[in-house]
Amino acid sequence: MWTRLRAIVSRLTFMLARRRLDEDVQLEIDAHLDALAEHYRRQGMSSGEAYIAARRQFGNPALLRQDIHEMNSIAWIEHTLQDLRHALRQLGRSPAFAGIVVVTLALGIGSTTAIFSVVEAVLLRPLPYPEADRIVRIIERPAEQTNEIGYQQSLAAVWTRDLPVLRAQAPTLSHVGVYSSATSTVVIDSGDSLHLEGSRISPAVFDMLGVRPALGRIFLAAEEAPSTEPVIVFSYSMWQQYFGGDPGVLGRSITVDGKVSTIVGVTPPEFQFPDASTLLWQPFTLDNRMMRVAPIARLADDVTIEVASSNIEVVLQQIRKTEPRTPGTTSSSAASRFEVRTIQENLVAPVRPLIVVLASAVAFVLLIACVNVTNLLLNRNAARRRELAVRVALGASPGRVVRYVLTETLLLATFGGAAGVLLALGTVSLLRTLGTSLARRDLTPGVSIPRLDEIQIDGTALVFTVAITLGVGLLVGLLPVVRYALARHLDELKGSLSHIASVHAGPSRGGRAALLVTQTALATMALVGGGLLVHSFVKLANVDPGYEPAHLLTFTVRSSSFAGSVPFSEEVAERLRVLPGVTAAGYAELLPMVRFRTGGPLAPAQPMPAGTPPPPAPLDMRTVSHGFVAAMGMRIIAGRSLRQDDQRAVLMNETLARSGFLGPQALGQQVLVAGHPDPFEVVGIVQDVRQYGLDQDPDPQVFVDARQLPPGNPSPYFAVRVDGDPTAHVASVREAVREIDSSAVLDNVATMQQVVSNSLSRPRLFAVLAAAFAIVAAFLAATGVYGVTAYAVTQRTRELAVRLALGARPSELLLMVMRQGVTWTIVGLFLGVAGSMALSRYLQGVLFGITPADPMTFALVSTIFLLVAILATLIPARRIARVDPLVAFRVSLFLLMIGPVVPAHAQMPPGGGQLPPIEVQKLRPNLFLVTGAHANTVVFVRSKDVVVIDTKGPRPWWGGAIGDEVKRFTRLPITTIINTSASGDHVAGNIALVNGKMDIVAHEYAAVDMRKMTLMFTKPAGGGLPTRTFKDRLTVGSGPDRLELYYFGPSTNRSGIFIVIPAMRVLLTGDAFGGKFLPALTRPDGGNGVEFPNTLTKALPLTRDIDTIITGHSGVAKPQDLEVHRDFMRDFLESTRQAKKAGKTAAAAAKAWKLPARYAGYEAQPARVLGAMEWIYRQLP
Amino acid sequence: MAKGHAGARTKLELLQGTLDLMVLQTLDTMGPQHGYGIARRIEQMSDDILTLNEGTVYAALMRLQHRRWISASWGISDANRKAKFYAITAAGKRQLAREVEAWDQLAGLVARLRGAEPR
Repeated sequence: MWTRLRAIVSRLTFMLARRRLDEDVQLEIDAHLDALAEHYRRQGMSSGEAYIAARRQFGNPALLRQDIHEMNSIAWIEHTLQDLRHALRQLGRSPAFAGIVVVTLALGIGSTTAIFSVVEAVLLRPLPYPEADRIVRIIERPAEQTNEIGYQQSLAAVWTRDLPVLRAQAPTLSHVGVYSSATSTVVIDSGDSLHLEGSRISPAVFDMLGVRPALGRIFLAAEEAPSTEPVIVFSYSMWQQYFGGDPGVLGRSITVDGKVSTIVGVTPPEFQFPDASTLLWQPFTLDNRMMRVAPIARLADDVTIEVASSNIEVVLQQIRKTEPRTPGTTSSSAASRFEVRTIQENLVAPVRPLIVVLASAVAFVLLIACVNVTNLLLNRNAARRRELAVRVALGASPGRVVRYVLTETLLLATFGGAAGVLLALGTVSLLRTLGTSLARRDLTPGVSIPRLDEIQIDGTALVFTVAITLGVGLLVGLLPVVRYALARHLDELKGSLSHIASVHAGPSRGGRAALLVTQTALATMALVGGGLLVHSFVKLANVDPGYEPAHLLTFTVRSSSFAGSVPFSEEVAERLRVLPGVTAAGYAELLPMVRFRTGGPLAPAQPMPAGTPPPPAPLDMRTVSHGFVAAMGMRIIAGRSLRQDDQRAVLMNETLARSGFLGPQALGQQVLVAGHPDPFEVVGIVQDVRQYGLDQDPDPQVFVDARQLPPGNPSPYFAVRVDGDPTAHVASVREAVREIDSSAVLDNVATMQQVVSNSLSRPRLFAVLAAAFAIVAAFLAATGVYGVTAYAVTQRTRELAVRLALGARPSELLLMVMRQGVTWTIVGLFLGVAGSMALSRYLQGVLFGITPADPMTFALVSTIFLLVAILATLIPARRIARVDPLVAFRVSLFLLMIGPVVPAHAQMPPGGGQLPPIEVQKLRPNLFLVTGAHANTVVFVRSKDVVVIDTKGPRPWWGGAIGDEVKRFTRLPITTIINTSASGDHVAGNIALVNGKMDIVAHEYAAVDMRKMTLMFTKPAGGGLPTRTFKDRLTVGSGPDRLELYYFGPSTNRSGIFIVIPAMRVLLTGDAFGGKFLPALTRPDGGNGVEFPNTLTKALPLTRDIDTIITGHSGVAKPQDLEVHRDFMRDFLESTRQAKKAGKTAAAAAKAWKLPARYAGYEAQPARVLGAMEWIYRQLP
Repeated sequence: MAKGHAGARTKLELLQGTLDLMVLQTLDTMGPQHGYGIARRIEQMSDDILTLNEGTVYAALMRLQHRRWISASWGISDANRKAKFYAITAAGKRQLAREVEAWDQLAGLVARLRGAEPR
C-alpha cells in the first residue's frame, strides 16, 4: 500500500515534468525504430522493408506515446482542466451572455451574502457577555402606544433614590444597576487634559456582565455609596495607549473631572460596555441628586423572563405611584405596563422587522436571479443538445457529459460568486455609511442600526457565499442536464425533421409568459415603491427649515467654573463675533433638531376683547441671545430682530402671531412672559422654523432674550456663522473660548448641516435601500425579457429564414419578434401599476409631501421601465437582420437529406452571424483584388463586361457576396468566371454567382475534379461547373481585354493554372504561388511535391512582361518573388531528398528541417512540413 | 489502459506485471541499459517463446520509474547516439528479490500439484 501511495505521488511529480518526458519518449521511440530498422537492413532487407518490419515489431508508436502520456497524468485532473479551458473559450465567444449571467448571479449572491452578514451580526450573534441572555432591561409601554414598528422603545426610568427599593423588592433579579455616559476630562502624567468617553456604572453592572479584570479589580458594592474615595477602571485599549500597558498603574492617582481618583483595575481586551468607545468607568454613586435612570439587571438563577416580568410589573407600578410630579413633564398615563426584556432583544427588536423584510426581499431576488439564469442557460443549451448527443455517441460516459456541462455553469457561478462578494463588501460599507448617525443623545434620533460596527464580511459569510454559489451553480446547471436526460439522445441524431418541428428544449410558452409577466409586475412594484420613497426623500430634503443651515458651526461649551451663566455665554458670543471669518454669533438654550422642549406661560398684557382666542398650547418658549437670530439666518418678516439694548422684547413666529391671541395685529403688542412682572413688547415676527424635524409642522413659538429669561440648560448651544467651511474654524473658536476660560471644553461640535442631515438619515436609508432593491428588480426583469426574446429568436431561426426568403423585410420580422416580448412586458407593467396602487397606501406613514398615488412617480417609473424593456428586447432581436435566407434555407434542405450532426449555428454564414470582412483593393483602374477570408478573387472590368477569377469558398454564399461587391463599382455584367484550380475555396462561389449566361473557364483536369464534387455541384449544367476547358494554352477575349491562360504541370494539385492579363501587366499564380509560405500538397487532387519546382520553372518566363504578381491567398508580390518561390520549393525538395537518402524518417526529417536564412519571410508550419515531406517521401524512390 | 474493476486483476495487468519483472531482472543482470538494449535482451532470451511489441518495454520502464524501482539518466550509447539509460535502484533490487521469491513459490506449488516434484 505504501508503494501505491508513492506511485500516486510519483504520478503527480511526473505530471509536472510531462512535457519533457513526452519529448524524451519520442526521442527514445525514434532511436529505437532507427536501431531496429538498421538491424533489419544489416540482415539484408531494403530500407523500406526494414522500416516496415521495425514498425511492425515495435507496435504503434502513437498509441504508445498516448499510453505513456496518460500514465503521467491523472485522468480527472486532465479532463477537468480541459473542460475548464473549453468552458472559458465558449464563454469568451459570447461575452454578452456570460456578462449578463455573471452580473445576475452577482446581484443575487452578493445581496444574499450582505443580508446574511447583517442578520448574523445583528440578530443572531449573542452579545459578548457570558450568559448574555440573562441580562435584561425593563421596558415601559404606555397604554396608548400603538404596537407599530416603533422606534421609540421606552426604557422604564426611575429616580435614583428608588433604586434600593427596586433592589429590595425584586428577588427575581440578582443584580440591578444603572449607568450613564459622559465625556470625562482626564489629566495624565504629562499634564495634558484628555477628553474621553467614559461611563458611570453601578458595581453591580460589572458583576452581572461577568467581567474578569485583566489587571487589578472591578468596583466593590460599597463603592456605590457617595462618601467613598473615587476610583476608576480603565479599558484595556486605554491602558495600552496611554499607559503603555504598565502594570504599575494600579494604585496610582489621576485627576478625572477635577477630582483625584485611584486607578483600581483594567478590563480585559475585548470587553466593551455600553459601546466600543467607552474607555473608562467610574462608580455610579447614589447621592442626593435626583436623576432619572433606566436600570439594567440580571435574572436570578432559575428565574424565567415571564416570572421576572410579573414581579417587576408589580414593583414598578408601586414605585410610580409614589413618584412626585415634576412640573413640565408629561404625566405618564396610570395604565403603563412594565416588562422585562433581554438586552439583546431590546437592542434588536426595533430593527428586526426591517431586517426580516430585507432578508425576504433578498431571498426573493436570489430566486428570481436563479430562474433568470436557468432560462438563459436553457436557451443556450438548446443549441447544444446535438453536440452532447454526438459526444455520447462517440463514447463519453454520461458522467463525463454531465461534468462537461456543469463545468461551464460552475465557472459562471464562481465568477458570479466572486463578483457577489465584492458587491457584498460594497453593500456593507454603504450600509455602514447610511446607518451611522451622529452619536448624539440630544438630537432627535436618526436611524440607528444596532451593532452596526459588528457587521462585516467575515469567514462565516464567505463560507456561506461559497455554499450558495455551489448550490446555485449545481441547481442551475443540472436542470438543463436533467431535461436533456429525459429526452433520448437518439432522437436528436435521427434528424432535423424533429428540429424543424420545433421541439422546445426550454419551458413551455405559457410558462415563459407567466414568468416574464410576474417578474415585470414585481419589478414595477419595486420601482414604484423605490420611486415614491426617493421622491418623498427629495421633497423632504428640500423643505425650507426656516433658517440657513449652510456655513453654520454649532457646539456647546462645558466649563466647570461658569456653568451656564448668562454673562459667560454673552462674553463668549461677543468674542466669537469678532473672530476673522465670522459674520454672526449667538447662543440659545436649544438648537433646531434638539429634542427637548421648553415651555412657559404667555399671556397678553392687556385684556383682549371677547372672542379672542386664548394663547395656544403647547407653546414653545425659547431662550435666545440677541445675536442668535442673525447667526441662524432666521428671517424677519415683520418688525425687527432683538437688539443688544433691548430691555424687554420678544419675537414671535408666524404661527403664534396668526393664532390671534393678541388680536389681529400681534406686532407691537405687550405680553406677560413666564411670571415676569413687567410686560414685554413683541418687536418682530419671524418666519416659522422647523424645530423638531423637517416633516413636523412648526409649533407656535416665542423667543425671549436670554438676559431676561436665563436658560435652564447648563450648556447652551452656540451658533457661529462663518465664511466658507465651518469645520475650518473649529480651532480658532476653541482658542477664543479658552481665552475666556482655560478649562472650558467644546462639546457636540457639528455643522448645522450635519445636524439637519442627521434628522434625515432614516428616510434617506429607506430611500436608498428601496431604490437599490428596485434597480436590482428592474435589472432582473430586463434580463428576463432579454432571455426570453433571445430564446425565441434562436428557436425560430429557420422560420424567420423562410419568411425572409419568401420576401419579408428584416424590419418586419424584428417588430414581429419584439412585439411578443414587449406585449408581455406591458401586461406585467399594468399588473405592477395596479398592484402598486393597491399596496402603496401602506407607505403612507413614511411618505412626505406626496400621496401614495403620486402621478409623477408612476408615470416616470412606467416610462423608464418600458424603455428598458424595449431595449432588452431589441438587442437579441437585432440578430434577425443577419440571418441569410439563402444559406439557412438551402443548408436546411441539405441537412434534410443527410441527417445532421451539425449544430444550429453552422447554418449561419461563416463567423457565426457576423458578416465576414470583404476588402476590395483597387490595383489598377479596372482591376480589383477582393480579399478577406479564403482565396483571393480578382475582378477584371473590361470594356463591355466583367471577368471574375476565382469565387472563394467553401460556402457557395461567397459568390453572392462577390456579386454584390462587383455591383458596387461597376454596372457591367459578369460574363466570365475563371477558376485557377479545382480547390473548394476557389470554386464554391461559382454556385451562387453563376447565372445561365456565364462562361466558366478552367483546366480540363479541374473540370473532371469538380464533377467529382457531387455534394457541392448538384446539377451538371449551369450549376457552377466549367463550360470551357483547355489543356495547355487558352486565350480568353481579345486585344486589351484578353487574358492568357497557361498550364505547366502539377503543383499543390493537378489543375492549377497561371493567368496573365497583358493589358494590366499582372500574373495570377493561384495556389502554385499562394504566398510566402509552404503550401499544402493535396494528394487526392494530384498534388506533387517533386514536380512542383519544375512547374514553377516553366512559369518563370511569364514574369518578363509583368509588373505585379497576384498570389492565390496573400495579395500582391513582385515578379522576382516567383523565382524565389521556385528556389524555396526546390530547396525543400532537395532537403527532403537528402533526408530520405540519409535514412531519416519523415518525422525526423521534418523535425530537423530548418527554414533556410535566405527565405526569412516565409512561413512553414510544422504540420505542413511533415505532411509535405511524408508525401514527397512516398513519391521518391 | 486498463480500466479494470477495483480488486480484480485483469489479464492485462498480469501481463504488465510480468513484463515489469522481466525488465527489472534484465537491468539487474546487465546493469544500466537503454530501452533498445533491454528489448534485444528479452528477445534473445525468449528464443521465440515470447513475441511482444517492443514498444511496451517503454511503458514498463515508465511504470517502474513511477515506483522508483529504476532510475533514468541520459547517456551515450555504443552507437554513439544519445540514449536514456535505466538502472535498478536499491528499492528495485529488494522488490526484485520479493517477486522472484513469489514466482518460485508459485512455480513450486504448481509443480507439486502436478505431482512432478516430491515435497
